[in-house]
Amino acid sequence: MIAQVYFALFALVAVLCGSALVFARHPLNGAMALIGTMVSLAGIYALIQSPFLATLQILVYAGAIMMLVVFVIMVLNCAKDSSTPRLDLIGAAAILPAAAFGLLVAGVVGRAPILASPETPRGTVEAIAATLFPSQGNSAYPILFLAVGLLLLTAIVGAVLLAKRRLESLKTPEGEH
Amino acid sequence: MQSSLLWLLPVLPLVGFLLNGILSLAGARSPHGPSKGLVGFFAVLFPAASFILSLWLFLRLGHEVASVRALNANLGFNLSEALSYKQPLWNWFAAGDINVGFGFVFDSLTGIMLLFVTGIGTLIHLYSLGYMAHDRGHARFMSYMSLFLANMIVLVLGNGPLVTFLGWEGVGLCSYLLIGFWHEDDSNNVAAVKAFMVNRVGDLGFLLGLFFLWQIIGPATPFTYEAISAWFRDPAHLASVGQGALATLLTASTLLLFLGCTGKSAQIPLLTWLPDAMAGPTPVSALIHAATMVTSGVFLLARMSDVFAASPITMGVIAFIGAATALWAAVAGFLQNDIKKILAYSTISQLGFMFLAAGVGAFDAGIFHVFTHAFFKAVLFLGAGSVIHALGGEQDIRRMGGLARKLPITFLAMFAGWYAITGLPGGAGFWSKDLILEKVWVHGGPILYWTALATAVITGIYMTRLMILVFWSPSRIDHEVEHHVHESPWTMGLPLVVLGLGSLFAGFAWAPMIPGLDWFGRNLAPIVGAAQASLAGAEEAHASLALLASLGIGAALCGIGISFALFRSGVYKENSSDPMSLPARIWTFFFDYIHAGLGIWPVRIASWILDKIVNPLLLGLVRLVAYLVEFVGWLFRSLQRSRLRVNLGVSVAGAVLVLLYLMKDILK
Amino acid sequence: MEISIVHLQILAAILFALGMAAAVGRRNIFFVLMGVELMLNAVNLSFLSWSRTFVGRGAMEGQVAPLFTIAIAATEACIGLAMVLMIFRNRESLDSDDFSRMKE
Repeated sequence: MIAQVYFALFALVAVLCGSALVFARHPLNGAMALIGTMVSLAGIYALIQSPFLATLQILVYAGAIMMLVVFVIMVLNCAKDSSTPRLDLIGAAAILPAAAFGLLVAGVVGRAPILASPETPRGTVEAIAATLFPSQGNSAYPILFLAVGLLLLTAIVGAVLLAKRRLESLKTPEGEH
Repeated sequence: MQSSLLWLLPVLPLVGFLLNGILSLAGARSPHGPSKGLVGFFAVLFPAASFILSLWLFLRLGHEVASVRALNANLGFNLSEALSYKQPLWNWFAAGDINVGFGFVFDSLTGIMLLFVTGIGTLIHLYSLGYMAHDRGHARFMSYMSLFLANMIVLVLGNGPLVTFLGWEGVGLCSYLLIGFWHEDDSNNVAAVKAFMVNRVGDLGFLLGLFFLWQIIGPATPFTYEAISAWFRDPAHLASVGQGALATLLTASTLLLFLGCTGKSAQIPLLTWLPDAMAGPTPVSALIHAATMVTSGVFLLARMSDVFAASPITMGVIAFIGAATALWAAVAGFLQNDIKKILAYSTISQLGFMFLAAGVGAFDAGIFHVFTHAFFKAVLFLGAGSVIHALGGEQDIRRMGGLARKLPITFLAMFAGWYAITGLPGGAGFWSKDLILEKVWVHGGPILYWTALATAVITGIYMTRLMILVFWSPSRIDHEVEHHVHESPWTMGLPLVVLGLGSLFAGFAWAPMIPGLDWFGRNLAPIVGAAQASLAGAEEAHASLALLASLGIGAALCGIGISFALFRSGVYKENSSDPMSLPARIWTFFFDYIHAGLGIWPVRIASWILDKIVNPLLLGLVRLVAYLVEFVGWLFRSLQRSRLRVNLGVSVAGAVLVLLYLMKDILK
Repeated sequence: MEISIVHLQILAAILFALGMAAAVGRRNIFFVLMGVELMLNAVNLSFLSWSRTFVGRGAMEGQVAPLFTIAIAATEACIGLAMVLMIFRNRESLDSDDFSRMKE
């Protein structure tokens, strides 16, 4: 009972923040709204027996990714961009299909007889660790784990290279450090 | 041994063709062409060799037939007198049920045809040396003539209708090449194409007739003359083609084969090409369009006499067309003013006589007339060539006259030809034409006989007109030309003399009124005898030979007399240079008009329709398809927008549509 | 578990639609990126709620997938923002209509 109340609360916040994202004027406002959505989603994760993911969501998603986004927004100092209208005709026209999409999916899912199973284990750290790195049996997860690590490394290097002011400045021999 | 030599007969002139062809190509760059001596040597050597070989074969065959005849008479044997030399060479093609071989057969009919084909061929090759001496392309001319001779020999020597057809097509080709020999002048090319086209229509009939014939005789019979004749002489088979579906098939087959004959032998309706073919050099007209190629039709009738005899309807058609053509061409010959055109229409008329003979069932009389006609028509053409050569190219008889003294040898030769063709007693034409008239009276009935007799009268009229206006009347020649009139060289004179003698004496090969002189008829009996016996049923009238002969002579004298009365002084309308009057034009070009109306104009109209209406329609259809594709492409292109948001929005809309389609059952 | 799976799925669908609306409808490029992040979050929610209906291994895999998704989202945000920096330096604008140079 209590869980349902909490769920309704978190859901409401998430949806409101999501619509704030659609209608916000400044990107920074939108970023704040997105953080709000993520935190409430973390709460919902916790409510459905996934504590590890809830923590991960706040730590990584809201903590690191959104911080990066806010950082870049502030670096670019897009005050001059407030002149762009929030929504014009094309934007409104583009929102309609998205709305239709959501309604359709919701309509379908709503008629499906989905039931939660009571024996489902709780998503604790130990359980997830046991799945990811099993002591016996074959599993591809260790490799995937390492691959994701490699991917993140590549992304770091790529981002540094892309964002550098001039590619030649990497190679200037003497003078610039 | 004789059988294995048959292949040499066509190959020898073929070698002459190749050698002269090579000489002609090799001498193409030199100013006067290749050496005339060398070309002439090859040109006369090979046909002469072929003639000697065929003469030898003919004599040996006659010897063997004589010994068989003696055995039959003395010892009471009943051996067949239809001997022949056969040389089957190879299997031509085998497709399904059809199995056709390529080979040669030499029997007495072949022998007779070959004798005069190669003999007159050799003489005309010799004549051409003199006639074409000043022409730059004389080597090419001689090579074409040798090729023609080779093809004609294949036609005559073939052991089956398809081998004959090979030669048939070959002589058609050579006719085209030779008519259009002076190809710089476009009207010659037109005439050559016309000859080829009209012949082609006939060839179509020939082939269709062969197909139907094959249907009748069935796949079990090999497609050789021997087997076909044997099939048609079997009484059981004759009964089966007597009525019902087979009878119709046989009538169709023989009528179509006859259509092929009308094409090659210039009868109604496919005769329009022969007068135009006079555009070729005179030796060509003499050899091809008088003596040899145009007689292929009659030869085919004699070869397949058993087939034709089995279809009485076709025989009636042949007789009727022969008589009609003879009469029509005789009147047309009277209306012409060009010496070669007169002789061309005369050829058509005489061919009509031959078909008339074949049509009433006298195939041997037809072949006999072929034989004599070859002599006198060739000598008339060669003489005409000599006159044209002497006058430096003049061909209009209204501008000739008085040449009897100036060109003695030519005059004597042409006199012999004229004597023969009009049917005056003793000449070759007298014997053959009177034989035909007798057969027509006995088997054909009064209408055909009086038509033939009228034709004989008109023949006398126009041939005598020619002789008068060219030789006997006072000279109307242009004065500059008159100074250069000279007799022909010996290369032209020798053939004239030989053929002139032939016109006078060749008829004695079959002179029924003189006992013992029927060698010709006896020789042909084994081949055409069966067919003629099967048709000899209803003999209507017996007539005395003497009466008929005197009627024939009377007709000739009548024609000659009328002609002398009209044209003696040479002044009756003949001094003018007017073109032909309208009635004359309509009569002469009657069949050309029919061809134009039935054949040429429909093709022209159809081609106009196709070009102006169907072609744009089809092009429009193609363009329509192209526009359709372009339109669909434009539709798809317009979904791609450069503006990012619009592009994404369209993608999302597409995803929604797909989703809708997938969920259509659930959402109902 | 008291929370109905259907409700969770409907919430995920709504969040996805909102994210899509932001990504497709807004002109500012940052909003496009943030809309994409929102969509990924909605998908994560959907994964987790579906995994609640399985027993055993399926349930645990439903937990692992969002883990990887978050990692990849980090990667993508990193590179995406670097590209935004680059583009801004080139064109001095953050309006997606100014970046629309594709062939019509």
